[in-house]
Amino acid sequence: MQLEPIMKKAIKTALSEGVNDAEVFAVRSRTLSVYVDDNAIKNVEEKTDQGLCVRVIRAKKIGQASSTYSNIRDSESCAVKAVKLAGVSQPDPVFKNFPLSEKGAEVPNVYDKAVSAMDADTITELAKNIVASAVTAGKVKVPSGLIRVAAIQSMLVNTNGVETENRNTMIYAHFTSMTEGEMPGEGVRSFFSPHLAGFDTAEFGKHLGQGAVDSMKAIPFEGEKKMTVIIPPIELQELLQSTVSYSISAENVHRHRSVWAEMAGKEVASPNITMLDDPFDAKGMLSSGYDDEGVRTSRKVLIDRGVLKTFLYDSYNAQKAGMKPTGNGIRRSPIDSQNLYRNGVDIDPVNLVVKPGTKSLEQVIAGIDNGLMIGRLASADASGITGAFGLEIRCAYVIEKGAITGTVNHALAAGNMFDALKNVREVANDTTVIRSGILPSVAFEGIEIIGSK
Amino acid sequence: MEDILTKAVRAIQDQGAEFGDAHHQAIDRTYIVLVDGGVRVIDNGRLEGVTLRSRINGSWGYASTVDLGNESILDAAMRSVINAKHGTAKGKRIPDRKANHSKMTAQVRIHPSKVPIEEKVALMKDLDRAQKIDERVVNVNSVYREEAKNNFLISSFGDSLQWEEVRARLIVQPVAHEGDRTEFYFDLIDGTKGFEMVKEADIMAFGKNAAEEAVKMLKSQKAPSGLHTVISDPMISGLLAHEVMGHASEADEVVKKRSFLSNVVGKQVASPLITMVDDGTVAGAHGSIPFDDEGTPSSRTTIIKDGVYQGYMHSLETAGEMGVKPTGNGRAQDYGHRVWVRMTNTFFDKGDATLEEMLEGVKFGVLTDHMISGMEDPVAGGFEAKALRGYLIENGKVTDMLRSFTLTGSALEILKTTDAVGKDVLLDGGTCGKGIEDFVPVSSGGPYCRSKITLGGG
Repeated sequence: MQLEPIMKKAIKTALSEGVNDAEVFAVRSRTLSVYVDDNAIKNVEEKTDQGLCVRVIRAKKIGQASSTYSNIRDSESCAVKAVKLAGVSQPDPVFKNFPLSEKGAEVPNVYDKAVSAMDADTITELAKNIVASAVTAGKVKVPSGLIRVAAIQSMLVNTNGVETENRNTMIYAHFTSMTEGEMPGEGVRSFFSPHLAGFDTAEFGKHLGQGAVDSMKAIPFEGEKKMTVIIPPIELQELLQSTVSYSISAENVHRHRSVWAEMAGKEVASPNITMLDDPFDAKGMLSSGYDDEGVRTSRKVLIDRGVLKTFLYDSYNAQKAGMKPTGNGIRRSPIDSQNLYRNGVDIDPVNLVVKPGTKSLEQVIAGIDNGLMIGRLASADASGITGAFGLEIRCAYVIEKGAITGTVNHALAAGNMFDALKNVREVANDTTVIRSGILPSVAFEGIEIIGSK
Repeated sequence: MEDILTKAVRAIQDQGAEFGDAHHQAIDRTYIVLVDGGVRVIDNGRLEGVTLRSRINGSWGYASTVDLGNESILDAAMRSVINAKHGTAKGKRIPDRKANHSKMTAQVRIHPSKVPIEEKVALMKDLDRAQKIDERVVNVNSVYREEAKNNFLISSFGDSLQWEEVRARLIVQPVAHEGDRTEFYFDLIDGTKGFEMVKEADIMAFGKNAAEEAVKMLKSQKAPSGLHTVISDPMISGLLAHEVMGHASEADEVVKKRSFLSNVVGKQVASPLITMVDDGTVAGAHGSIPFDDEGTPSSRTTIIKDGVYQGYMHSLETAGEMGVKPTGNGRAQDYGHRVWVRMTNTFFDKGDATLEEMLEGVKFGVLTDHMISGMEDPVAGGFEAKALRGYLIENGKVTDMLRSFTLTGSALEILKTTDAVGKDVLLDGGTCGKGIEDFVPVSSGGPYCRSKITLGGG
């Protein structure tokens, strides 16, 4: 089924119900997943999904409805529901119209035919390669793993003439490993890319297996002290998502929830921190010429050598601020392809890029006298409102006189992310794609480490 | 729908699958968000689709579609068999059982679909107003969400089951600001309940209280670091039950020896004061279900009794593998997601102490209040719980309020130090992911529990 007729029907129905402004966001996807259980292929899944979301403005009131699409009646009923909901909403003095048409967007290369053509044979082969490589670490198994590949088409039309389309492919892998025997160690590894070419399953499996071995050797951290701590991309992305992305969202600025609400043009981080939103990087999971409201995306410097340069706007918050939307109204997900039409619009960087430093990770480690490099945290979230974090360290590498000398666990890393960004020792150059982030490892000074012993 | 689902399951069996099922779901959701007096979101969402499942030699194949035409459903059935044939996992056959037939609607007094949307919006406006108690409350957020999930399951057992699950949820989250401090507080009401849950709530008090608590948090202090006596509130007690002991008691983790609780049945794993259950039959609780997503009726599973480990939660597959009865814990987020062993309502059972008695014995410690999040660790049994706030305990008295902090440590070591368990069990509803996705509605909870736990916060 093509998306265009579904969308046109919804727009036509909405207009016939008495609204002047309507928008339809529709998505079609095919997803193939393989799950590994105990070194074996446990489950292969294939999912086809399509659906739409209708937003309307009726007498300054906004309504929204979404639905899976099986037949044309779904389009009609979705539009009718959106109009009905707008009728019982309340007038919003701010939001006057959906975005206007803009042409000429740069289109990044994020659709890989090799991914869209994958089948059960090829995806299970990738999983088998990872397992075969991981177990070479010795007495290591792979208790669980997932590879998900998807081809996604998303389109947006509105009554202001916007007609945009994004097509992307996605590979997302998430595996765990563990050593066998008493007191096992656990390793975790993930991979994110729109392209198959960069997915080195042998290398992925090797690091996955080694992670379990390193974790098994970990000893409990003793005492409490402030240390230099290197946070790798996989954990740093989540910390930045929950704090930096949160604080530069115009919605949070307007709602007084952002600690950076009054900080535009001021220093919010160390001079060695520069962050961008780059929607055109071909490595990015959400790279696109248009955001999910049909607004043209653009490259933007968010933090320039520690100074906050701009906030990000969707169409609603842009109208509230009397600004132009920045192309950051996002509905898609970097790791999922299902039910994307059901998500509301959130303000986010398309790709949050941390500008790499000049040194390799090994060189950064070599310069640290006494510190830790995080291997794995339980979860890496900090409070967006306050910046506070307390992170359980499940495995960290001990750095002594510039070399890794062992691993520790059973400890908390405590601090405040907004303070930590002002205490950055160094930024490495090991840039990695993690969900909607493209970022390297960063060494922070003065993180409090609290041992359980 | 019954005819085509039955045909699809027959086709799966004809192609050599030892077990198969076809699950149709229609999920209707209404979602209203008010922010600072304005309706920010008013949304109705409908998901409808079918998933087909085939099992061959211990491996599974799934195929799901939102195209509800007969041809599409039969094609998905065939694809599920092809996918299962790509598996390499081995396993015992799922034991056959007597077919179940049932047709039931949700046991709610006021079905949300019968309540005009205008009434729901009006209620949210009240909740919004109730939070505006003070100029220090700079942002107020009110969320109403209802969901009706209609299931139709046909399986190769001969099951034909139709059931409905209805859930409602009300969340309030005010943000307070003064000087250089910004803090938030949240509260929620939820359950497998209809609109009566909302009508019975004192909305004005609910909103006002949350705002008052947010303002109080502006004076909160940094929590002490290190190993301390901690009295966990029902929410944090529930996180320990759910995240560590619960996830590690899901039998799929046990079958593959990924759980630190893999060989502990009959062993003392906790203080004799600790009893823990998973119970999908608790009336009105957020995680309650009449059947799991494999058609097994939900049940009460005792996991720990008086500190001694009893047994695991099971799907059809893990029960067959371990030679026990399934417990009704084979659950999926929806038709687009896999069935795993998942919890329902997981909690520590009541003891005999009052909170006052627990406080009396503490010279220096921490009383937790509200959780933000937690994370499972089935391999090593590590506990991580983020508390929204807490209080210092000094010489048996609650003193300063503490801002957000994290609790950590080995769950088994923590539970061995538990020396007092409260009289009243409270359940806290939410959604649970396995790993980082596949979210199902659950609740967790327990009474106040006094233990030794490491904590720290920024």
